[in-house]
Amino acid sequence: MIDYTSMGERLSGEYRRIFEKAELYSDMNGIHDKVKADKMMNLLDLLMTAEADGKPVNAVIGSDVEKFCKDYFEDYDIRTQIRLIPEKLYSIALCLGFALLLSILFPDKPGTDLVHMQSDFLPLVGGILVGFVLAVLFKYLVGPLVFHSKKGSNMIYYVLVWVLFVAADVAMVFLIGDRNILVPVFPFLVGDVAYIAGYLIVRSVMRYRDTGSIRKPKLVDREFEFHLIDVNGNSYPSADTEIQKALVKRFQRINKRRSKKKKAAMTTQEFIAKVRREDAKAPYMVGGVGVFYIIIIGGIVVDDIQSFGIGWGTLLLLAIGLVIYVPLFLLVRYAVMLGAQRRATILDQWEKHGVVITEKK
Amino acid sequence: MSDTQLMKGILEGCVLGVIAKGETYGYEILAQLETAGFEELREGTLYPVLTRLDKKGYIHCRKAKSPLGPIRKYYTITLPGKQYLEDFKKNYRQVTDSAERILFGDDRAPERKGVRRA
Repeated sequence: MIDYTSMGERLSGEYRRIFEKAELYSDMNGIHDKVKADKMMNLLDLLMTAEADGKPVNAVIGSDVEKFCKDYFEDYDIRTQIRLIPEKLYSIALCLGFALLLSILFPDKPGTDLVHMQSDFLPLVGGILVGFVLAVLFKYLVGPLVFHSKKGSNMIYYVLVWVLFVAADVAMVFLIGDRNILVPVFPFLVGDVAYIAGYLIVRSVMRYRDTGSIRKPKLVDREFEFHLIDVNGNSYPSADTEIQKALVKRFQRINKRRSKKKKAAMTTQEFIAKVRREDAKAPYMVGGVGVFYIIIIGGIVVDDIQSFGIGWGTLLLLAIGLVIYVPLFLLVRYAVMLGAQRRATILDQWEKHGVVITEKK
Repeated sequence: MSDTQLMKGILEGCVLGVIAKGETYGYEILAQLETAGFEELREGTLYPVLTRLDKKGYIHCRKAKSPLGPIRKYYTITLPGKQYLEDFKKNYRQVTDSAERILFGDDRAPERKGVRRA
């Protein structure tokens, strides 16, 4: 993966200053890392090309750097931020899980069982409040001061961030003193684990729906060795880029494996037939997931009946199992079937236009 | 051109018009628009337009390493994009013809009078 930060050091003078200001602006405004990486790479390409052409930087971004940054990052709107909330909650859940794990490994009262264990949440609550106050302070006071400073560099901002956070945490320790907020660990642990597990499952399902793989797509695409051309030899673009890119990548992977085993390369027609065959198994895959969960839930309920008999606890367990199972099953089914449907549409279009996946020269 | 509102209304269509000529990238789009007379257009204004066009499915974006090193986004127009562009051109012609009749009436420049567009 290409790192835009280290490559940005190749810029000089005003070009480098603008690049650093844009990076500072994105940090001040909490732009998500994925969005930031994409936009900063795009800006880097623009500035490097302008510098190589000898074009004044003002001609590219205008005279008002702040206005440029505001316009440039404007599509990081409320909808995008809302869409990224589950991911942010996932990061918080991982941190919370780590804190809970520490509480369990090093309990305040050794010997307490997990269900009755309590933990002091005041430091966590205090940390969140401090973080919020400092974030507002940096966004509206410190950040703009550093941003508009002609001589200061971004490093001042990041040093101030660390200094103030450490100072605030130390101050918080003295302010809290002996006070505490004791909360039971077990419900938080169950909720935290459930959220992490649910998030990972949904994310895997959505990735599979969009790309045909549960693996994380690379942030920056490597250049493909293969591309699509139609029957007239022209490049074949399509609006449905993610699924199409995933298909070409799959073709590339298959032929690389075949090449290592010294087998003949797969043709486009063979590849289309293979994808169709595998997608035809999609309903069975969904059925398999359904059976898997029924076995798990059934096993838990049977074990409960054997231990405690049929009671309200068992019925509640069954109800919870169904409440989790039914939406999960429907979600997996939707993603798998939709992914197969979208691939089928693209493959039909490929056949209609005589598209061939061919190696780039 | 200095009227921001006026520019915003036609920018998407013009950017699509540039991309329709062939695969291109941000800097080149800016250069072509500048040559055509959009002198105050900056990347900060262009980038959100490209993002919107990509989200609507009017352009296809592929990433590849540029000659200078960074990953560059190359844009091509899609079939829905071509359709949108044709509709845009039709609507633009209708609106500008009507606006010219109102704004310039008989004071239109001689070369404009009686000019029929293809």
